[in-house]
Amino acid sequence: MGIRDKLERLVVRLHDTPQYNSQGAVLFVDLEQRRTLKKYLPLEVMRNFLGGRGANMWLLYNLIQEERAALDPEVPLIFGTGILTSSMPSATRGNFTSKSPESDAILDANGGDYFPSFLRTHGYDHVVLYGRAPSWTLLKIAYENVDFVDAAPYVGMDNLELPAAIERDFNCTEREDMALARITTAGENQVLCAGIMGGIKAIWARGGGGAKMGSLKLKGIMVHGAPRELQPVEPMAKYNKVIGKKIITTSVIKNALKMVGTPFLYKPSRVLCALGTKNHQETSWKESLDADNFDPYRPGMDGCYLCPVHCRNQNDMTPEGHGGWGAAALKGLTGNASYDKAQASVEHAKARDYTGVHHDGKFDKYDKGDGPEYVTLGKFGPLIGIKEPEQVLRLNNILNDLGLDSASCGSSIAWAMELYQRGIITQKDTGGLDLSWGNYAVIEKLLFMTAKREGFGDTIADSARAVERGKYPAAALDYRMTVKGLFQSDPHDARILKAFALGLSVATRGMDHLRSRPTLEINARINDDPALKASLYNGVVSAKPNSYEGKEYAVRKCENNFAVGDSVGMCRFNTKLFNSPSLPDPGDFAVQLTSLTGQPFVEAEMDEIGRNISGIEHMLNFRLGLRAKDDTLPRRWFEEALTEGPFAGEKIDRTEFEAMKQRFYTVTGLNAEGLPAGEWHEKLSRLITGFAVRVDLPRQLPGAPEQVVVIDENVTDATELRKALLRKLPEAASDLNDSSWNIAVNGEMVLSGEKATRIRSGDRVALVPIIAGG
Amino acid sequence: MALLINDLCIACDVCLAACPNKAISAGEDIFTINPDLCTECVGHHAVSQCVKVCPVRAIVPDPAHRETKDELQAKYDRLMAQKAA
Repeated sequence: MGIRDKLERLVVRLHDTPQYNSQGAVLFVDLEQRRTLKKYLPLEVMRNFLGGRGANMWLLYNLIQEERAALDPEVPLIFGTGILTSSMPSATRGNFTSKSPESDAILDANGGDYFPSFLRTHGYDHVVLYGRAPSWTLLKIAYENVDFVDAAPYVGMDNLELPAAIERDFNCTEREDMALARITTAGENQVLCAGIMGGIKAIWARGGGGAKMGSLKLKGIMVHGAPRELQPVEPMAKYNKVIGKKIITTSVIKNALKMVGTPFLYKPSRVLCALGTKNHQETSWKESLDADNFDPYRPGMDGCYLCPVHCRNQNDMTPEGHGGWGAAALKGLTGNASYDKAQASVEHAKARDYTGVHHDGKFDKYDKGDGPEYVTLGKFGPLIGIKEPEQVLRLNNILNDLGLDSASCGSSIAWAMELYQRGIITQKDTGGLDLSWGNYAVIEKLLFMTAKREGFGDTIADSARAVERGKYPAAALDYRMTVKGLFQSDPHDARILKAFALGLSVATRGMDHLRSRPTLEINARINDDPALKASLYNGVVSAKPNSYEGKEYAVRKCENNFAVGDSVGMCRFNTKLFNSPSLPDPGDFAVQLTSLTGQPFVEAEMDEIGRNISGIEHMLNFRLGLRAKDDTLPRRWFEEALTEGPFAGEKIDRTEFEAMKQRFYTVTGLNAEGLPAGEWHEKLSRLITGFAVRVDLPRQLPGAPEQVVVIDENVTDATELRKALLRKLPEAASDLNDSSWNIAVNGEMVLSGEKATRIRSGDRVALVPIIAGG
Repeated sequence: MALLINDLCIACDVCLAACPNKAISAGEDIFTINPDLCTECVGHHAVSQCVKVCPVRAIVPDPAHRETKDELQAKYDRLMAQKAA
């Protein structure tokens, strides 16, 4: 069944008019046939999965053909805005979702800037893209009008040049009456670590969204026209003030994010000796990259649409530029150096002494820009052996222009460097490039080669799939720092913090901290108040960073909060439990959801909605072939202990880790294979596909530890049910093909005529071995 | 007319950097706009920058200071002349 057949089936369940106040449409876009269709999701989708990430997953589950490759145009790329996006302070965000071409899991990338808000205020909550356009296309959305614009003039343009060309050609200004989600040459060339750009720096980074959009021959989605209010401001206004105040009075927001941005996180990881260095062979790096070393080049901050924080640190190293914003802002913040408080007073008095990349007084467009975030600082600093802040800034600015995910691209380069160090690859493989740690000139050159897939850049462009694509020998996998085929998002080495490690292992999009990062695991104030900590996490969580005890509760609660946050469009930085316990929580979101949609929401139900969202993601990953064995960590973290710092000797104990993971499955409601168990699975299936049949098996089968399979495809008869079982559990094919297993439907044995035996949603089916012998 | 910050303001300060006329200042609970310096961004931008960035929509037209676009342009010219002098 192709994408158009699947869509035809789905459309029957959708509506022609909004089902609640402020609901935007789903715009289905057939790029190949240049057709569009506008529909509205059923109310129960919003009630159980909200919008944005949650509703994206609902759409993907109904439209994906899991057997197809991620870059197949039959596999849709879906964008969704949060329900509160554009209506609540810091709710600026939306997700791109698909099957990931880069990893083995779902693609789900979250981003902000202005595009999600503009799209929502133009009347759309989701855009579902499929089919390969006959030629490069720019999709132009202006309220009711949707146009397929020839993008040939924009092919070959990168992120700095493209929006300027669009502004010129359409007489508009980005962020005022235009917003643009776009790909660069890296996306055109299907570089697997290419993201989709939403601004100078904003990127839907993880999982290869740029390559996916490129495979559809879609250069960008332009929203043309100034944003409108979704409803009168008044109903939400008073409580928006409460939410806004919560955000800006939170210490970490006020003192760190508003002043220097996320690079403040570098010092605490460095002091803890938990900073991924040289592809995690080491865990400590130079003070020269502490955030205050960027002070002289920081002219100010920028932010997303209607965000009170403005956490995006800008940089300007040119002679005309100036710095000093947030200078010395972190001095004396002991919470930012909790394992060595004296470090909080250390300042480096860094001078503004950059004279150009070649020290010749010559400057170019990469000597100013937006960023870096802590991720880029870590990945293009310690992870690859760079120690000069100016070099990090320049690489950051190049990455932004080339539209590369700094986490995956930096990790891919670090992986190559370790392989080079170990002699697994040589200059014969790199085309003569010397991949020694910290070799700045080569790294800069390699970024451009990666975007073009030139020379060894073609290997970096294959990201974590370099072995699979024949670029490295299998031995290279021993040094690949991935989970589910996705490189780690965060520079933090999680061999110490066990909740952090658990979160990385079970994250549904691969090795990514943004699904759960339980920061408060090492927050002294929280750890000194066990009752508070237990109430925050719905369970008793050990105060010891390196203990495995109770860490499953921390990850579960954070996953719930953040799934809800993503699905209403809230920025992670401003969601309770990511940076602080004082930030807006799902209870606050419930108040504003009620005001905006007219649908009553209460805090108590939000946790379950968060769990539903992660549940559907586990179900999607199961369809992609992922099992409990894939919820793991890189080999190095199990086998190699830390050699320095207050936790020297620490690593991940396999037995303890597996026990913690199974406890996590239990508190989440997952079975031993990481799939929603029992009745919850049936309930989710009914909500997602409108169909659920529980099949009891005669014994445990591979992939079915509960002796149960839930069939969620709309099968009509017992023969089709058998086929659906095989699709669901391919690893159990030999058992399922056993002709001595009969089918019983609602207790009635089917002895003949399976084709004529109707199956309806809600039926109870059992596979029953025929009793033989004499 | 000039713009006014009402009591929905959360004093987040993002309007400060956005104002090209430096017409905004921090108050005790809420920020304030000096109507003598506010041109609603006429002369600088197509849309009022503080309105564009205010996360709680607390910036509205000031009914006590009604001005036409021509008057705002004249104010802008005057402010620029003062700055140059």
